[in-house]
Amino acid sequence: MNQNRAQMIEILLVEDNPGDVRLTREAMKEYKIINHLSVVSDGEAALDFLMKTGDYRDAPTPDLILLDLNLPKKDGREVLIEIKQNPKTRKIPVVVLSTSESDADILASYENHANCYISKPIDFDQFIRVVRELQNFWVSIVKLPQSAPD
Amino acid sequence: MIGRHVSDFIKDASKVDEISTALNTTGKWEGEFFALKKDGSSFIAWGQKTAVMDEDGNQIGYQSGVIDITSRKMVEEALIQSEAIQNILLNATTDTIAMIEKNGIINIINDIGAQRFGKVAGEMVGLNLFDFFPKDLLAFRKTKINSVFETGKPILFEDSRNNLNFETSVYPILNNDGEVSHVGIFATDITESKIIQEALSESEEQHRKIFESVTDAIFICDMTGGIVEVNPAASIIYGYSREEFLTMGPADLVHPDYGNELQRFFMEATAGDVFHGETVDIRKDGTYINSEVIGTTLVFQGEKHLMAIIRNITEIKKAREEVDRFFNVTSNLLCIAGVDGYFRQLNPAWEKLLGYSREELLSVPFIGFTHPDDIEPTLKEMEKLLKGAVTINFMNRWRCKDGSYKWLNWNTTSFEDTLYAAAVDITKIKKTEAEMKMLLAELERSNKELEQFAYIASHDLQEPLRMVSSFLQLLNKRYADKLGEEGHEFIHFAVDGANRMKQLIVDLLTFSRVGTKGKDFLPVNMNELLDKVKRNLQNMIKETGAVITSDNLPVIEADESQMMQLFQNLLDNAIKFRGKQKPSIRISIENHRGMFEFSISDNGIGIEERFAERIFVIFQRLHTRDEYPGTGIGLAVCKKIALRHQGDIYMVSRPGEGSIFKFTIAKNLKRLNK
Repeated sequence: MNQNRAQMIEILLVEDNPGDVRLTREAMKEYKIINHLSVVSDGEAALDFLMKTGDYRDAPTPDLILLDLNLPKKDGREVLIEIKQNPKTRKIPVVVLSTSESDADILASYENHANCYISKPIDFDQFIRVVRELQNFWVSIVKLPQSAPD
Repeated sequence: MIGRHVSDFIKDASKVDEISTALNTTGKWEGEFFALKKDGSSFIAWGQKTAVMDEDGNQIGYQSGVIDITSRKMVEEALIQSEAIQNILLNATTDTIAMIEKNGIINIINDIGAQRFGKVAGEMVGLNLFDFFPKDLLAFRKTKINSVFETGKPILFEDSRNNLNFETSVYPILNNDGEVSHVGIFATDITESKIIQEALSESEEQHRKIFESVTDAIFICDMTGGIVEVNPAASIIYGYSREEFLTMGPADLVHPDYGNELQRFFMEATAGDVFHGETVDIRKDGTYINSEVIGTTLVFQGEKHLMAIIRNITEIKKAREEVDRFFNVTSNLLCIAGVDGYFRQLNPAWEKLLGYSREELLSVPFIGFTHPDDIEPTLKEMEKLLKGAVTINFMNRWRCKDGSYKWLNWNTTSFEDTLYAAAVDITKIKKTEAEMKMLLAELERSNKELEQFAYIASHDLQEPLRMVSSFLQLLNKRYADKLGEEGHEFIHFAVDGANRMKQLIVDLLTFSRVGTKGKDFLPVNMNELLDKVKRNLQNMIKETGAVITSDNLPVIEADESQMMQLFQNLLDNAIKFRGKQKPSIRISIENHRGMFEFSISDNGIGIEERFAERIFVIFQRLHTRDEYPGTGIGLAVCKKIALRHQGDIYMVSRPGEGSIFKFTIAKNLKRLNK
């Protein structure tokens, strides 16, 4: 069972910058990580996806959320709060992935129960390593609760 | 005359009858009568008429004789009268009057004199006066009286008997041989007058004492203006002796400018009013004094005089004038106001500041000048004042004549329904305050903007940079074989540029945060801090074999993370800019007044003197990046940190021997926290 999960997990990437989406995909490709990556590009879409409402009625429940902070429509900070306040979604680990190195952002994220905060490195090799470590940690090492059957 | 009847010579008919009757019954008459002369005038006559008888006893006629007794009669009458007068005189007095012979035998004594011995006058005549004197007085009085007999000179003495005081004078009476045969004694009871006199002299004594001991000068002048009496204070005040004063008049003392005042004094005092006035007087030495004069009339030595009481108020006046001078010179607004809401007294500063005339200010209740919005709080404050509170730093606005308003800051106190107030024009301060508030708001806004900028710098600017460098690197990876050597080189430069730009942004952010993100000043153990810094730099230290030694450092009040940054930057530089030898770094401390001075000396490449200032400017570098990496932010941040700690940083060049960086940190920074 663990094997299965390790081989194939559901990741939701909330990112408005297509460049970053591409880089993330490229980084995963680089390490031949086989995950299912869903991408939404604003805060509202992210919540719709998680609540399976609107355009996302058939969306899968993600095992891991990669959340950018600066998003159109609904800000990443608000999305984080809503995820962590909703009993249905609060068990899903949220990795904040942001360019911001601001102490205020880091502190606020942890206070709102982000599972970790990662500053996007400017160096591509570094970025690849971050994605690999994330994969390692959250998919192979960490034991996550099984997705509740809806 | 023969042939005329006797009755023709007698004036009074009743007398004629009296004579006839006497002759008829006794045969003779004698007596006085008024005789008539031929010319009809009359005289007093003594006449006698006797019947003349024959041998047989038959009346044959009368024998008469008449003598003119007018002169005798007149003398007799005068005698009787003088005796009566003497008696009247003797008894008309309340004094004892007596006349005695040399042996003390009383010839004359009056009723009052006898009464004083418990006798009547008739009893005493012919007795010895000395027998009536009480024993304790006998010798004294006898000696006194006998002395008059012996010397022939009158004497006056006083003694007392039965609680009565007597003043006795004894006069000699001489006989025809010029010897003292008798003495007259006159004794006056002076008991009462003595009491009155004593009372009088007592009150006079008191008055005199007052007169002599008061510090006010007292002049008594006659109605012509001559000084007739002065007290000692007058001499002290004016410098003239009493004798000099007595030759002078008030006009000699009063300054000519006050002649009118002097005239008013004479007029009013003479009219019976009490005069009050002030004059300037001239002392004997020519100097002036200010006098306060109270004048009135009084009876002196039985005559109406003028009295002037003069107080030297020169000092008081001077003090008052000095107060007035302050009152007039100060730019503070001083005033005295009544509970009726009107000013009573104002200094000139009011007119100057508000532009109204004094009359305008005094003619309206002062609340009328208050800004409409300030009237209510002002009235409340006045209520409190009248209940005894003291106003400190009460502020309100006053309308100037030109319609503008001035802010006044009041300190006021009340005393017996009077307000005493001092106000300061704080319009400028208020304006500055408002400006400062605006500037502060502006500063806050700009700080917010700066924070916003910092955020943009840390996030939004870096994102595109990341795109540039990441995709270039991806390009490099995927198409390595197709790029060729030149292609790789170009990509390297582009990625390096992006990396440096990111570093610049981060450094800029760090620099800006020294001021905006500083933490409170708290005690920092600098020894411990240095250990932490060394741990942070341990790789560098290990690689270069650097030796870092230090004095025992104090605990100082500072922002710990900034102190770390400062030390780390300086140590990092000292190692980075090392020479050929192993880096040797010495940290020392000097304890100055109000300051700690830290020195970090190294044996590195040193810095030329001319760059001493430039090295602390942001992004200024003395070397190429190839020689020494870095953006040139380190020392600029150090300087900013030192300045925030009320200190400074500077470099002492030791050409060829390395450099010394010194920075100072103010003591007691904790109080600056808020």
